Amino acid sequence: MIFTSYEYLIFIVLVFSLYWAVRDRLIQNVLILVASYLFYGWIHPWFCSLIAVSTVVDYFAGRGMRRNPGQKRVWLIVSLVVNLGMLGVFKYFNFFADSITALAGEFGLALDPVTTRILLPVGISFYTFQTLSYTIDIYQGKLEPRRSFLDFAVFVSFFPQLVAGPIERARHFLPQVEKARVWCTDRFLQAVPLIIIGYLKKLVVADNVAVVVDKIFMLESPSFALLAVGSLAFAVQIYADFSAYTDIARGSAKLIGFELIENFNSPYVAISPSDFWRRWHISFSTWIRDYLYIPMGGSRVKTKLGMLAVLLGSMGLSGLWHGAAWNFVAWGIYHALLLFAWRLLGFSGHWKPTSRISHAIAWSSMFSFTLIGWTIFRASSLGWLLETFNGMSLLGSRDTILTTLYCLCTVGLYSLAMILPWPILRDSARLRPVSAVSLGLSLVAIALFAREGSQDFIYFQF
Amino acid sequence: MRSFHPLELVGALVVFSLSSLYLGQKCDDYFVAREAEGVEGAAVTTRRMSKSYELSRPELVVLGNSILEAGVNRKQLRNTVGLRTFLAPVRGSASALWYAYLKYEVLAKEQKPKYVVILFRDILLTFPTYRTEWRYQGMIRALAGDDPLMKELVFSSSSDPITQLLDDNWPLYRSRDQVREVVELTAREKLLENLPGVERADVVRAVGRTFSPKNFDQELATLEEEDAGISKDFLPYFDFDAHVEDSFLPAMIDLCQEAGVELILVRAPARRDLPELLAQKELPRYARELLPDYLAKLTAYLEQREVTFIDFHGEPELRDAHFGIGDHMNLEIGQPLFTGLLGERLLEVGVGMRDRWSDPDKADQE
Repeated sequence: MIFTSYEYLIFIVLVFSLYWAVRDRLIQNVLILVASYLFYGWIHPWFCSLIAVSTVVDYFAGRGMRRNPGQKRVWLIVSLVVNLGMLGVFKYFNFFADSITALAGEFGLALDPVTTRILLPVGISFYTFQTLSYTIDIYQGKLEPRRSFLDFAVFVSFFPQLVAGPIERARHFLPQVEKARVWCTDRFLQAVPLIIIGYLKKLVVADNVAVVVDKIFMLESPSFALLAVGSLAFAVQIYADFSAYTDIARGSAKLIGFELIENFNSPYVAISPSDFWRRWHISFSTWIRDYLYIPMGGSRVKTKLGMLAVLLGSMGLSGLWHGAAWNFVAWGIYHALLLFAWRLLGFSGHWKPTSRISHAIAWSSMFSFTLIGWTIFRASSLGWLLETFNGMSLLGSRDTILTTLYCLCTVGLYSLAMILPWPILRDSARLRPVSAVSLGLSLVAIALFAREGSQDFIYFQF
Repeated sequence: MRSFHPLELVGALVVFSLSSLYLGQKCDDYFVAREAEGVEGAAVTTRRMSKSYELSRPELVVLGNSILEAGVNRKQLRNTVGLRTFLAPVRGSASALWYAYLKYEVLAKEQKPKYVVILFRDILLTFPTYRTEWRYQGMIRALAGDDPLMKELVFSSSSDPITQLLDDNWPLYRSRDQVREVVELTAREKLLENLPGVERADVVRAVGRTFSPKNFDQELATLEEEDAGISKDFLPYFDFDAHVEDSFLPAMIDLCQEAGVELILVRAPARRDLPELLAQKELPRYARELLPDYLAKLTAYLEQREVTFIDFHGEPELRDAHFGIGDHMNLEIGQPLFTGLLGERLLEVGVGMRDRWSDPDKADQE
């Protein structure tokens, strides 16, 4: 089920009503679990079997580590093998099989490609990382394994964030599952505007800008200017799309008394790569930091070569997490190189510019590098990207220039809608009348500019 | 996220409701006026048609759009086939309007014609929602607004009951497509019009050329609209079997058969099929693969329903020089040639009497 369908609106109203009608924590958790499996298996019921396997394995891995501390490592390996194994088969098998076949072809070996025809289960990367954090935390002694299978199953399958995050940590989320939820009007009054903002960003901004992005990135040889507009459009689209999902997820969770972590903090105002990663997909970047970067040595590595290796390893894998394609790996490596370069220049960590001019330079350069990164990310393949840059013209013909301006106007028009949530998000008593108007106009904009047959959220594919 | 004050939510709902009402009213006024152009157009055409119809007592009625208007000369056709002929071209029209005219004008008359010809392009007979908005909607509503089939195929075509409910009861929502079109037009073409030496038509042409199928990466465009060379909206309608029963075609056949009127369906020629152009440029996928398959199924269906079908595809006498804009014949040499060809093909299938009016003056008197 997707957030932008009418089914979801009916679903959330029903869940909300039943949930607050029962009040008993145990029954509420059963209801969430049933609702979550219904939500996830709405189109393809077999998807539920995968999440059920992850849940059972990690629950017993957690219990096993507590009962037999001497076998902790074995239980951790079981958890890693099962979860990463499923991820590998369903998400990466075809990619590696195709790549090996292609590589063998380069050496004159004709291999029969063995590929699966299995559909990629949406959200598998998200819940795999979420449930892995549980077993790793128990292994590291940071978390106590849970006795209640029901509570744990709710943590793994919680429907608002199941498909595209935020990737919750057991330490933050499980205590909420385990305690009684009481109705809080304030939380309800936070949830409704958040959900409306989410729909505005997705239906008005992301879906309309996507039309331009799709066309430009389909061209055989766009001009530099047109590709730049395409990258700018994609930057708008992916932020609007992904943060919309997070907003709707957080709003839906609030409706049933849960708090999910923030996933975005104005990423495009970042002034350095490390600043960007503190603001973009926060739940994922902190996961990578805690479970990949730090265990690989992190900032304790003193040599430059070691530092580069750790960054390439963690960011390369984070790129691969996004999808089974080389351009995602390249995007991760590109960000690793940016982080490394900024460190070499002495602008790492929480560096702050000292003047407005240096701030402007830092921001504009980081934003430009972010756009280059999105170009790599959005490109259909690395081959397309290399061919496009080979012999690319700056502006192109008169037709191309007019088309570039036309696309820029389209992106500008729909990006204007991003201004509407601004007063809503400000905590200012003076802005309250303005925020009421903004929220009302957001609803009008959704009614007028939502496209029929809304596109899937981009991060569903990851 | 801060917590909203309940009054803020109430305020938002008030703003939303008032905006909906105000904008909805404005949209209705604006777009109903546009629809009214269609209604007026329909009324004028209907009045003209009724008057001419009464006067001419036609034996042959030809329905179609601008292809008919540009391509067929009434007197020449009348003289060729020897039948009192009435042409009813409505620019831009498609199957919904043809059905409406057929049922509520042509077949509603006391004196019915012997033959009805519909001159159509490619897949339009089984694309019921094509050209049913803006002024066309006004014309269709004026002629057949209460028709059950029209309601089913055109006015109830929303994908789900909630959208339908909103469409029926919320003027602002109902106008969303038109509002989007106006806003996008203003923000793009009209803004760029202000650049020196740029006209709106330049912008439209430039965008069309830049994003034309030949400029797309063929590997990325496989089986997509870009590869097919036609809009995504059209692609599903090349599946004849999937759409024939939900189109106006069976109903038009039934209506004519019940009224004892012979229906002849004529597929108009297309410039892209001309041998001289085919030698220069390969056909897009839709014309190469999808359309032949569609036409084979259409032909078999019409044979089974005992309806005469004339296809001008690959007509050897037509040249590029006979065409004007797009697939329209030019008036100088295209129209006389095509009218003659159409007359001859009609005679071949037994429609009309050759040499009935070898003297045109006699025909005028009739």
